[in-house]
Amino acid sequence: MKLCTQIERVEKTVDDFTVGPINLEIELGTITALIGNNGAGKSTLIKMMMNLVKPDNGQLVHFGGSIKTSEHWKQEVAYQPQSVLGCDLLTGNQLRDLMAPWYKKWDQEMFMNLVKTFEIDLHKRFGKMSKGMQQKLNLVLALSKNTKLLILDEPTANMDIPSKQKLMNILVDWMERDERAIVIATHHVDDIKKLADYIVIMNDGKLLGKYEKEELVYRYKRYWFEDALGIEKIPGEIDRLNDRLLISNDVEQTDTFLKKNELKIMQSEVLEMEEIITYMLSGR
Amino acid sequence: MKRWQQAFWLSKFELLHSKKSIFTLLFLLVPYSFFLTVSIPSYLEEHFMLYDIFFLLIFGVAAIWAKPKEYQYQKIADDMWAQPFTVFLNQLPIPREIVVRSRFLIYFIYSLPFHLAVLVIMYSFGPELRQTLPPLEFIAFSLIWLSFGICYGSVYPASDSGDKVTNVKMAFYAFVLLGSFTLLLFAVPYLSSHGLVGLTIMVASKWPIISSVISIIAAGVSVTFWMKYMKNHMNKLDYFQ
Repeated sequence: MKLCTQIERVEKTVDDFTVGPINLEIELGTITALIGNNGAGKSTLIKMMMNLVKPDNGQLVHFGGSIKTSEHWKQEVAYQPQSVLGCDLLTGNQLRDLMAPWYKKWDQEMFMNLVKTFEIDLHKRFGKMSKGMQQKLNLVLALSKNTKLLILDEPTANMDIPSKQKLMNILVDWMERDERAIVIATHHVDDIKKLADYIVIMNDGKLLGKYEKEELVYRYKRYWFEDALGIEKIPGEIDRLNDRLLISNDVEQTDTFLKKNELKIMQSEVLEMEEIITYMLSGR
Repeated sequence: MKRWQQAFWLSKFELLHSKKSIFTLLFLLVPYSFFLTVSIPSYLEEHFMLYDIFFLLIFGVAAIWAKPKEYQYQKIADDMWAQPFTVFLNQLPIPREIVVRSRFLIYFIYSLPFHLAVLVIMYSFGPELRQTLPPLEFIAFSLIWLSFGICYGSVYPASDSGDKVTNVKMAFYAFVLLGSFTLLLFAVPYLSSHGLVGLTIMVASKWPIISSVISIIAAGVSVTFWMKYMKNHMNKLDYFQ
Protein backbone atom coordinates (compact mmCIF):
# COMPACT_ATOMS: atom_id res chain seq x y z
CA MET A 1 0.00 0.00 0.00
CA LYS A 2 1.12 3.55 -0.70
CA LEU A 3 2.27 5.70 2.18
CA CYS A 4 0.65 9.04 2.70
CA THR A 5 2.43 10.07 5.90
CA GLN A 6 5.77 9.22 7.48
CA ILE A 7 6.60 10.36 10.97
CA GLU A 8 10.23 9.76 11.86
CA ARG A 9 11.67 10.26 15.36
CA VAL A 10 9.40 13.23 15.92
CA GLU A 11 9.74 14.80 19.34
CA LYS A 12 8.32 17.86 21.07
CA THR A 13 8.88 19.09 24.60
CA VAL A 14 6.52 21.61 26.15
CA ASP A 15 7.36 22.71 29.69
CA ASP A 16 8.11 19.39 31.39
CA PHE A 17 6.08 17.16 29.06
CA THR A 18 7.65 15.41 26.08
CA VAL A 19 5.75 13.87 23.19
CA GLY A 20 7.82 11.30 21.35
CA PRO A 21 10.11 10.25 19.90
CA ILE A 22 7.41 8.97 17.57
CA ASN A 23 7.80 6.79 14.51
CA LEU A 24 4.63 6.13 12.57
CA GLU A 25 3.53 5.46 9.02
CA ILE A 26 0.05 6.01 7.64
CA GLU A 27 -0.96 4.12 4.52
CA LEU A 28 -3.54 5.12 1.98
CA GLY A 29 -6.67 2.99 2.16
CA THR A 30 -6.58 2.71 5.95
CA ILE A 31 -8.31 4.28 8.93
CA THR A 32 -6.06 4.73 11.94
CA ALA A 33 -7.52 5.42 15.36
CA LEU A 34 -5.27 7.35 17.70
CA ILE A 35 -6.17 6.57 21.27
CA GLY A 36 -4.87 7.43 24.71
CA ASN A 37 -5.83 9.03 27.98
CA ASN A 38 -6.41 12.77 28.25
CA GLY A 39 -3.06 14.51 27.99
CA ALA A 40 -1.39 11.53 26.31
CA GLY A 41 -0.16 13.78 23.48
CA LYS A 42 -2.64 12.83 20.73
CA SER A 43 -3.64 16.39 19.88
CA THR A 44 -0.02 17.56 19.97
CA LEU A 45 0.90 14.79 17.53
CA ILE A 46 -1.98 15.77 15.25
CA LYS A 47 -0.98 19.42 15.41
CA MET A 48 2.57 18.45 14.50
CA MET A 49 1.12 16.55 11.53
CA MET A 50 -0.54 19.84 10.50
CA ASN A 51 2.64 21.86 11.11
CA LEU A 52 0.75 23.94 13.67
CA VAL A 53 3.16 22.75 16.36
CA LYS A 54 6.77 22.51 15.23
CA PRO A 55 8.70 19.41 16.33
CA ASP A 56 11.99 19.90 18.18
CA ASN A 57 13.44 16.85 16.41
CA GLY A 58 12.56 14.41 13.67
CA GLN A 59 10.75 14.85 10.42
CA LEU A 60 7.21 14.69 9.12
CA VAL A 61 6.45 13.88 5.52
CA HIS A 62 3.10 14.03 3.74
CA PHE A 63 2.90 12.57 0.23
CA GLY A 64 6.66 12.54 -0.17
CA GLY A 65 7.31 16.15 0.83
CA SER A 66 8.56 17.47 4.15
CA ILE A 67 5.95 19.68 5.80
CA LYS A 68 8.68 22.05 6.94
CA THR A 69 9.82 23.05 3.50
CA SER A 70 6.61 23.33 1.51
CA GLU A 71 2.93 24.15 1.89
CA HIS A 72 1.69 22.03 -1.06
CA TRP A 73 0.74 19.12 1.18
CA LYS A 74 -2.06 21.25 2.67
CA GLN A 75 -4.00 20.67 -0.58
CA GLU A 76 -4.15 16.96 0.29
CA VAL A 77 -4.73 17.11 4.04
CA ALA A 78 -8.00 18.16 5.67
CA TYR A 79 -8.05 18.71 9.40
CA GLN A 80 -10.89 19.01 11.84
CA PRO A 81 -9.66 20.35 15.17
CA GLN A 82 -11.45 19.85 18.49
CA SER A 83 -12.39 23.51 18.60
CA VAL A 84 -12.24 26.14 15.91
CA LEU A 85 -11.04 29.65 16.63
CA GLY A 86 -11.64 32.88 14.80
CA CYS A 87 -14.69 32.22 12.66
CA ASP A 88 -17.53 32.96 15.09
CA LEU A 89 -18.84 35.82 12.98
CA LEU A 90 -18.85 33.86 9.72
CA THR A 91 -21.91 31.96 8.52
CA GLY A 92 -21.75 28.44 7.11
CA ASN A 93 -22.06 29.90 3.61
CA GLN A 94 -19.23 32.36 4.22
CA LEU A 95 -16.99 29.60 5.59
CA ARG A 96 -17.69 27.56 2.46
CA ASP A 97 -16.95 30.61 0.26
CA LEU A 98 -13.73 31.22 2.17
CA MET A 99 -12.46 27.63 2.01
CA ALA A 100 -13.64 26.21 -1.32
CA PRO A 101 -11.41 28.24 -3.69
CA TRP A 102 -8.24 27.09 -1.93
CA TYR A 103 -8.97 23.37 -2.51
CA LYS A 104 -8.58 22.31 -6.12
CA LYS A 105 -10.77 19.22 -5.64
CA TRP A 106 -13.50 20.85 -3.53
CA ASP A 107 -16.69 18.76 -3.90
CA GLN A 108 -19.64 21.15 -3.87
CA GLU A 109 -22.16 18.38 -4.51
CA MET A 110 -20.91 16.45 -1.51
CA PHE A 111 -21.00 19.63 0.56
CA MET A 112 -24.65 20.28 -0.25
CA ASN A 113 -25.63 16.63 0.34
CA LEU A 114 -23.91 16.55 3.71
CA VAL A 115 -25.44 19.89 4.73
CA LYS A 116 -28.83 18.36 3.95
CA THR A 117 -28.00 15.13 5.80
CA PHE A 118 -26.94 16.96 8.96
CA GLU A 119 -29.63 19.66 8.59
CA ILE A 120 -27.14 22.52 8.91
CA ASP A 121 -28.40 26.09 8.61
CA LEU A 122 -25.77 27.74 6.40
CA HIS A 123 -27.17 31.21 7.07
CA LYS A 124 -26.43 30.98 10.78
CA ARG A 125 -23.25 32.42 12.23
CA PHE A 126 -20.76 29.80 13.41
CA GLY A 127 -20.60 31.35 16.89
CA LYS A 128 -24.40 31.12 17.26
CA MET A 129 -24.48 27.39 16.47
CA SER A 130 -24.53 24.73 19.19
CA LYS A 131 -21.27 22.83 19.81
CA GLY A 132 -22.71 19.78 18.06
CA MET A 133 -23.80 21.79 15.03
CA GLN A 134 -20.38 23.50 14.85
CA GLN A 135 -18.78 20.08 14.85
CA LYS A 136 -21.08 18.86 12.07
CA LEU A 137 -20.32 21.92 9.94
CA ASN A 138 -16.60 21.46 10.50
CA LEU A 139 -16.85 17.85 9.43
CA VAL A 140 -18.84 18.72 6.33
CA LEU A 141 -16.27 21.36 5.40
CA ALA A 142 -13.39 18.94 6.04
CA LEU A 143 -14.95 16.12 3.99
CA SER A 144 -15.84 18.41 1.08
CA LYS A 145 -12.20 19.42 0.71
CA ASN A 146 -11.91 16.05 -1.00
CA THR A 147 -8.34 15.49 0.18
CA LYS A 148 -6.40 12.24 0.33
CA LEU A 149 -5.81 12.45 4.08
CA LEU A 150 -8.42 13.43 6.64
CA ILE A 151 -7.32 14.13 10.22
CA LEU A 152 -10.10 14.25 12.78
CA ASP A 153 -9.57 15.25 16.39
CA GLU A 154 -12.45 13.94 18.51
CA PRO A 155 -15.01 14.31 15.70
CA THR A 156 -17.99 12.90 17.59
CA ALA A 157 -17.39 14.44 21.02
CA ASN A 158 -20.45 16.75 20.96
CA MET A 159 -22.62 14.85 18.50
CA ASP A 160 -26.04 13.35 19.10
CA ILE A 161 -26.43 9.59 18.58
CA PRO A 162 -28.19 9.66 15.17
CA SER A 163 -25.56 12.05 13.81
CA LYS A 164 -22.76 9.80 15.05
CA GLN A 165 -24.35 6.91 13.17
CA LYS A 166 -24.67 9.01 10.02
CA LEU A 167 -21.06 10.10 10.33
CA MET A 168 -19.80 6.51 10.52
CA ASN A 169 -21.59 5.66 7.28
CA ILE A 170 -20.38 8.85 5.61
CA LEU A 171 -16.76 8.16 6.56
CA VAL A 172 -16.96 4.60 5.27
CA ASP A 173 -18.49 5.88 2.03
CA TRP A 174 -15.86 8.65 1.80
CA MET A 175 -13.08 6.08 2.09
CA GLU A 176 -14.52 3.96 -0.70
CA ARG A 177 -14.58 6.79 -3.22
CA ASP A 178 -10.82 7.03 -3.71
CA GLU A 179 -7.48 5.92 -2.31
CA ARG A 180 -7.59 7.84 0.94
CA ALA A 181 -6.67 7.67 4.61
CA ILE A 182 -8.20 8.85 7.85
CA VAL A 183 -6.47 9.47 11.15
CA ILE A 184 -8.97 9.84 13.94
CA ALA A 185 -8.20 10.74 17.55
CA THR A 186 -11.02 9.47 19.70
CA HIS A 187 -12.14 8.28 23.12
CA HIS A 188 -15.23 6.57 21.72
CA VAL A 189 -15.01 2.81 21.41
CA ASP A 190 -17.80 2.77 18.82
CA ASP A 191 -15.71 4.92 16.50
CA ILE A 192 -12.83 2.48 16.84
CA LYS A 193 -14.95 -0.66 16.51
CA LYS A 194 -16.78 0.49 13.42
CA LEU A 195 -14.08 2.43 11.60
CA ALA A 196 -10.53 1.58 12.53
CA ASP A 197 -8.21 -0.71 10.63
CA TYR A 198 -5.29 0.20 12.85
CA ILE A 199 -5.11 1.34 16.44
CA VAL A 200 -2.27 3.54 17.60
CA ILE A 201 -1.94 3.74 21.35
CA MET A 202 -0.34 6.69 23.09
CA ASN A 203 0.43 7.02 26.76
CA ASP A 204 2.24 9.83 28.56
CA GLY A 205 3.60 11.23 25.30
CA LYS A 206 4.94 7.91 24.08
CA LEU A 207 3.62 5.78 21.24
CA LEU A 208 3.06 2.33 22.72
CA GLY A 209 2.41 0.68 19.39
CA LYS A 210 0.42 0.41 16.20
CA TYR A 211 -1.83 -2.64 16.02
CA GLU A 212 -4.17 -4.13 13.50
CA LYS A 213 -7.61 -4.03 15.10
CA GLU A 214 -8.45 -7.65 14.32
CA GLU A 215 -5.09 -8.84 15.62
CA LEU A 216 -5.68 -6.97 18.84
CA VAL A 217 -9.12 -8.50 19.36
CA TYR A 218 -7.70 -12.03 19.21
CA ARG A 219 -4.66 -11.23 21.32
CA TYR A 220 -6.64 -10.81 24.54
CA LYS A 221 -8.80 -13.51 26.14
CA ARG A 222 -10.69 -14.10 29.36
CA TYR A 223 -10.75 -17.62 30.94
CA TRP A 224 -12.97 -19.07 33.68
CA PHE A 225 -11.67 -22.16 35.52
CA GLU A 226 -13.54 -24.88 37.32
CA ASP A 227 -11.03 -24.95 40.16
CA ALA A 228 -8.85 -22.33 41.76
CA LEU A 229 -5.63 -22.04 39.77
CA GLY A 230 -3.25 -22.15 42.68
CA ILE A 231 -0.35 -21.26 40.39
CA GLU A 232 1.62 -18.10 40.88
CA LYS A 233 1.94 -16.81 37.32
CA ILE A 234 0.67 -18.11 33.97
CA PRO A 235 2.38 -17.02 30.72
CA GLY A 236 0.47 -14.14 29.13
CA GLU A 237 -1.44 -13.41 32.33
CA ILE A 238 -2.20 -9.73 32.92
CA ASP A 239 -5.03 -9.94 35.43
CA ARG A 240 -6.62 -12.47 37.77
CA LEU A 241 -9.78 -12.47 39.89
CA ASN A 242 -10.57 -14.89 42.74
CA ASP A 243 -8.00 -17.29 41.30
CA ARG A 244 -10.69 -18.58 38.90
CA LEU A 245 -10.82 -15.83 36.32
CA LEU A 246 -7.78 -14.96 34.25
CA ILE A 247 -7.09 -12.40 31.54
CA SER A 248 -4.31 -13.03 29.04
CA ASN A 249 -2.72 -10.80 26.41
CA ASP A 250 -0.93 -13.71 24.79
CA VAL A 251 -3.53 -16.34 23.98
CA GLU A 252 -1.13 -18.73 22.28
CA GLN A 253 1.27 -18.93 25.22
CA THR A 254 -1.56 -19.15 27.76
CA ASP A 255 -3.40 -21.90 25.84
CA THR A 256 -0.20 -23.94 25.51
CA PHE A 257 0.51 -23.62 29.23
CA LEU A 258 -3.06 -24.51 30.24
CA LYS A 259 -3.06 -27.57 27.98
CA LYS A 260 0.32 -28.73 29.20
CA ASN A 261 -0.72 -28.40 32.84
CA GLU A 262 -4.18 -29.89 32.20
CA LEU A 263 -5.99 -26.96 33.78
CA LYS A 264 -9.71 -27.24 33.04
CA ILE A 265 -11.26 -24.21 31.39
CA MET A 266 -14.95 -23.75 32.09
CA GLN A 267 -15.39 -20.98 29.55
CA SER A 268 -13.35 -18.50 27.56
CA GLU A 269 -14.13 -15.42 25.49
CA VAL A 270 -12.43 -12.56 23.71
CA LEU A 271 -12.43 -9.20 25.45
CA GLU A 272 -14.47 -6.16 24.48
CA MET A 273 -12.47 -3.47 22.70
CA GLU A 274 -12.99 -1.10 25.63
CA GLU A 275 -11.41 -3.60 28.03
CA ILE A 276 -8.50 -4.24 25.67
CA ILE A 277 -7.80 -0.53 25.41
CA THR A 278 -8.05 -0.07 29.17
CA TYR A 279 -5.50 -2.85 29.71
CA MET A 280 -3.21 -1.47 27.02
CA LEU A 281 -3.34 2.04 28.42
CA SER A 282 -2.41 0.70 31.83
CA GLY A 283 0.63 -0.93 30.25
CA ARG A 284 -0.70 -4.50 30.23
CA MET B 1 -0.33 41.94 -8.12
CA LYS B 2 -2.34 38.72 -8.11
CA ARG B 3 -1.19 38.04 -4.53
CA TRP B 4 -2.41 41.49 -3.41
CA GLN B 5 -5.75 40.82 -5.14
CA GLN B 6 -6.04 37.48 -3.37
CA ALA B 7 -5.08 39.15 -0.08
CA PHE B 8 -7.78 41.78 -0.61
CA TRP B 9 -10.34 39.07 -1.40
CA LEU B 10 -9.38 37.31 1.83
CA SER B 11 -9.53 40.47 3.91
CA LYS B 12 -13.13 41.04 2.78
CA PHE B 13 -14.28 38.16 5.01
CA GLU B 14 -13.16 40.13 8.05
CA LEU B 15 -14.12 43.54 6.71
CA LEU B 16 -17.69 42.26 6.14
CA HIS B 17 -18.08 42.32 9.91
CA SER B 18 -16.23 45.57 10.39
CA LYS B 19 -18.84 47.99 9.01
CA LYS B 20 -19.95 48.96 12.52
CA SER B 21 -16.33 49.55 13.55
CA ILE B 22 -15.66 51.73 10.51
CA PHE B 23 -18.79 53.78 11.36
CA THR B 24 -17.52 54.08 14.94
CA LEU B 25 -14.25 55.45 13.57
CA LEU B 26 -16.13 57.95 11.41
CA PHE B 27 -18.13 58.99 14.46
CA LEU B 28 -14.90 59.48 16.47
CA LEU B 29 -13.43 61.44 13.61
CA VAL B 30 -15.69 64.43 14.40
CA PRO B 31 -14.58 65.11 18.02
CA TYR B 32 -10.94 64.17 17.31
CA SER B 33 -10.69 66.49 14.30
CA PHE B 34 -12.62 69.22 16.12
CA PHE B 35 -10.17 69.17 19.04
CA LEU B 36 -7.10 69.17 16.78
CA THR B 37 -8.46 71.97 14.55
CA VAL B 38 -9.69 74.22 17.36
CA SER B 39 -6.53 73.79 19.45
CA ILE B 40 -3.98 74.35 16.69
CA PRO B 41 -3.72 78.18 17.15
CA SER B 42 -2.92 77.90 20.87
CA TYR B 43 -0.63 74.89 20.20
CA LEU B 44 1.37 76.86 17.64
CA GLU B 45 1.86 79.54 20.30
CA GLU B 46 2.44 77.41 23.41
CA HIS B 47 3.26 73.84 22.25
CA PHE B 48 1.22 72.22 25.03
CA MET B 49 1.96 68.50 25.48
CA LEU B 50 -1.66 67.28 25.53
CA TYR B 51 -1.89 68.12 21.84
CA ASP B 52 1.17 65.97 21.09
CA ILE B 53 -0.24 63.11 23.16
CA PHE B 54 -3.54 63.33 21.30
CA PHE B 55 -1.76 63.29 17.95
CA LEU B 56 0.26 60.23 18.95
CA LEU B 57 -2.88 58.44 20.11
CA ILE B 58 -4.79 59.20 16.91
CA PHE B 59 -1.98 58.13 14.59
CA GLY B 60 -0.74 55.33 16.84
CA VAL B 61 -3.65 53.45 18.35
CA ALA B 62 -7.08 54.98 17.60
CA ALA B 63 -7.76 52.98 14.43
CA ILE B 64 -7.10 49.62 16.06
CA TRP B 65 -9.41 50.26 19.05
CA ALA B 66 -12.50 50.21 16.90
CA LYS B 67 -12.04 46.65 15.56
CA PRO B 68 -14.72 44.10 16.56
CA LYS B 69 -13.57 42.19 19.64
CA GLU B 70 -13.69 38.88 17.75
CA TYR B 71 -10.98 40.20 15.41
CA GLN B 72 -8.75 41.80 18.01
CA TYR B 73 -5.48 40.48 19.34
CA GLN B 74 -6.45 38.35 22.33
CA LYS B 75 -5.48 35.56 24.67
CA ILE B 76 -6.28 32.29 22.92
CA ALA B 77 -4.65 29.84 25.35
CA ASP B 78 -2.54 29.85 28.52
CA ASP B 79 0.19 32.34 27.60
CA MET B 80 -0.56 32.46 23.87
CA TRP B 81 -1.92 35.71 22.39
CA ALA B 82 -2.94 36.04 18.75
CA GLN B 83 -5.64 37.25 16.38
CA PRO B 84 -7.89 34.16 16.17
CA PHE B 85 -8.92 34.60 12.52
CA THR B 86 -5.24 34.61 11.50
CA VAL B 87 -4.74 31.35 13.41
CA PHE B 88 -7.76 29.90 11.60
CA LEU B 89 -6.46 30.94 8.16
CA ASN B 90 -3.09 29.38 8.98
CA GLN B 91 -4.75 25.93 8.92
CA LEU B 92 -5.93 26.33 5.33
CA PRO B 93 -3.82 25.87 2.19
CA ILE B 94 -3.58 29.63 1.74
CA PRO B 95 0.01 30.71 1.04
CA ARG B 96 1.37 32.49 4.13
CA GLU B 97 2.35 35.42 1.95
CA ILE B 98 -1.33 36.03 1.19
CA VAL B 99 -2.44 35.67 4.82
CA VAL B 100 0.27 38.16 5.85
CA ARG B 101 -0.65 40.66 3.14
CA SER B 102 -4.34 40.44 4.04
CA ARG B 103 -3.55 41.33 7.67
CA PHE B 104 -1.68 44.46 6.58
CA LEU B 105 -4.41 45.42 4.11
CA ILE B 106 -7.04 45.23 6.85
CA TYR B 107 -4.99 47.49 9.11
CA PHE B 108 -4.44 50.01 6.31
CA ILE B 109 -8.12 49.97 5.35
CA TYR B 110 -8.93 50.87 8.96
CA SER B 111 -6.19 53.39 9.58
CA LEU B 112 -5.21 55.23 6.39
CA PRO B 113 -8.60 56.75 5.46
CA PHE B 114 -9.09 57.73 9.12
CA HIS B 115 -5.67 59.38 9.40
CA LEU B 116 -6.06 61.06 6.03
CA ALA B 117 -9.50 62.40 6.97
CA VAL B 118 -8.14 63.85 10.25
CA LEU B 119 -5.40 65.69 8.34
CA VAL B 120 -7.72 66.95 5.59
CA ILE B 121 -10.28 68.24 8.12
CA MET B 122 -7.54 69.97 10.11
CA TYR B 123 -6.27 71.71 7.01
CA SER B 124 -9.69 72.57 5.57
CA PHE B 125 -11.11 74.02 8.77
CA GLY B 126 -7.93 75.42 10.36
CA PRO B 127 -6.89 78.74 8.76
CA GLU B 128 -3.90 79.01 11.11
CA LEU B 129 -2.53 75.70 9.85
CA ARG B 130 -3.04 76.83 6.25
CA GLN B 131 -1.12 80.03 7.02
CA THR B 132 1.72 78.08 8.62
CA LEU B 133 1.91 75.35 5.98
CA PRO B 134 1.38 76.06 2.27
CA PRO B 135 -0.02 73.08 0.28
CA LEU B 136 3.33 71.44 -0.57
CA GLU B 137 4.55 71.72 3.01
CA PHE B 138 1.24 70.40 4.28
CA ILE B 139 1.60 67.36 2.02
CA ALA B 140 5.05 66.79 3.56
CA PHE B 141 3.58 67.17 7.08
CA SER B 142 0.80 64.71 6.21
CA LEU B 143 3.27 62.21 4.79
CA ILE B 144 5.35 62.39 7.99
CA TRP B 145 2.33 61.50 10.13
CA LEU B 146 0.86 58.95 7.72
CA SER B 147 4.28 57.34 7.67
CA PHE B 148 4.34 57.34 11.48
CA GLY B 149 0.94 55.62 11.42
CA ILE B 150 2.27 53.00 9.00
CA CYS B 151 5.65 52.48 10.72
CA TYR B 152 4.24 52.23 14.22
CA GLY B 153 0.93 50.63 13.16
CA SER B 154 2.59 47.79 11.21
CA VAL B 155 3.34 46.20 14.57
CA TYR B 156 -0.41 45.46 14.93
CA PRO B 157 -0.91 43.24 11.85
CA ALA B 158 2.52 41.69 12.42
CA SER B 159 1.51 40.67 15.93
CA ASP B 160 -1.75 39.05 14.66
CA SER B 161 0.25 35.89 13.96
CA GLY B 162 0.58 35.43 17.72
CA ASP B 163 3.16 35.25 20.42
CA LYS B 164 3.83 33.68 23.77
CA VAL B 165 3.23 36.54 26.15
CA THR B 166 4.00 36.10 29.82
CA ASN B 167 3.11 38.74 32.43
CA VAL B 168 6.77 39.76 32.59
CA LYS B 169 6.97 40.12 28.82
CA MET B 170 3.71 42.11 28.78
CA ALA B 171 5.00 44.44 31.52
CA PHE B 172 8.27 44.87 29.61
CA TYR B 173 6.46 45.77 26.36
CA ALA B 174 4.22 48.26 28.20
CA PHE B 175 7.26 49.79 29.90
CA VAL B 176 9.18 50.13 26.60
CA LEU B 177 6.14 51.57 24.79
CA LEU B 178 5.15 54.08 27.46
CA GLY B 179 8.79 54.88 28.20
CA SER B 180 9.63 55.64 24.57
CA PHE B 181 6.49 57.78 24.12
CA THR B 182 7.24 59.69 27.33
CA LEU B 183 10.86 60.17 26.36
CA LEU B 184 9.78 61.44 22.93
CA LEU B 185 7.24 63.84 24.45
CA PHE B 186 9.78 65.32 26.90
CA ALA B 187 12.98 65.08 24.86
CA VAL B 188 11.68 66.83 21.73
CA PRO B 189 10.62 70.11 23.46
CA TYR B 190 13.79 70.03 25.59
CA LEU B 191 16.11 69.64 22.61
CA SER B 192 14.30 71.64 19.94
CA SER B 193 12.05 74.13 21.76
CA HIS B 194 9.17 72.64 19.70
CA GLY B 195 6.46 70.21 20.62
CA LEU B 196 6.41 66.89 18.73
CA VAL B 197 3.78 68.08 16.25
CA GLY B 198 5.48 71.51 16.14
CA LEU B 199 8.77 69.84 15.23
CA THR B 200 7.17 67.96 12.32
CA ILE B 201 5.56 71.25 11.14
CA MET B 202 9.00 72.87 11.23
CA VAL B 203 10.66 69.93 9.38
CA ALA B 204 7.90 69.87 6.74
CA SER B 205 8.23 73.65 6.24
CA LYS B 206 12.00 73.68 5.92
CA TRP B 207 12.61 70.44 4.00
CA PRO B 208 9.32 69.39 2.38
CA ILE B 209 10.83 67.24 -0.36
CA ILE B 210 13.45 65.50 1.78
CA SER B 211 11.03 64.84 4.63
CA SER B 212 8.43 63.47 2.18
CA VAL B 213 10.92 61.13 0.55
CA ILE B 214 12.27 59.91 3.91
CA SER B 215 8.72 59.36 5.19
CA ILE B 216 7.75 57.30 2.13
CA ILE B 217 10.95 55.23 2.31
CA ALA B 218 10.52 54.68 6.07
CA ALA B 219 6.93 53.49 5.55
CA GLY B 220 7.99 51.11 2.75
CA VAL B 221 10.92 49.68 4.72
CA SER B 222 8.76 49.23 7.81
CA VAL B 223 5.96 47.40 5.98
CA THR B 224 8.45 45.16 4.16
CA PHE B 225 10.29 44.37 7.40
CA TRP B 226 7.16 43.57 9.43
CA MET B 227 5.60 41.46 6.66
CA LYS B 228 8.77 39.38 6.44
CA TYR B 229 8.94 39.16 10.22
CA MET B 230 5.32 37.95 10.42
CA LYS B 231 5.83 35.29 7.74
CA ASN B 232 8.94 33.91 9.44
CA HIS B 233 7.33 34.11 12.86
CA MET B 234 4.30 32.08 11.72
CA ASN B 235 6.69 29.41 10.52
CA LYS B 236 8.31 29.12 13.95
CA LEU B 237 5.37 29.52 16.31
CA ASP B 238 3.50 26.65 17.97
CA TYR B 239 -0.28 26.85 17.72
CA PHE B 240 -1.57 24.46 20.38
CA GLN B 241 -5.19 25.76 20.24
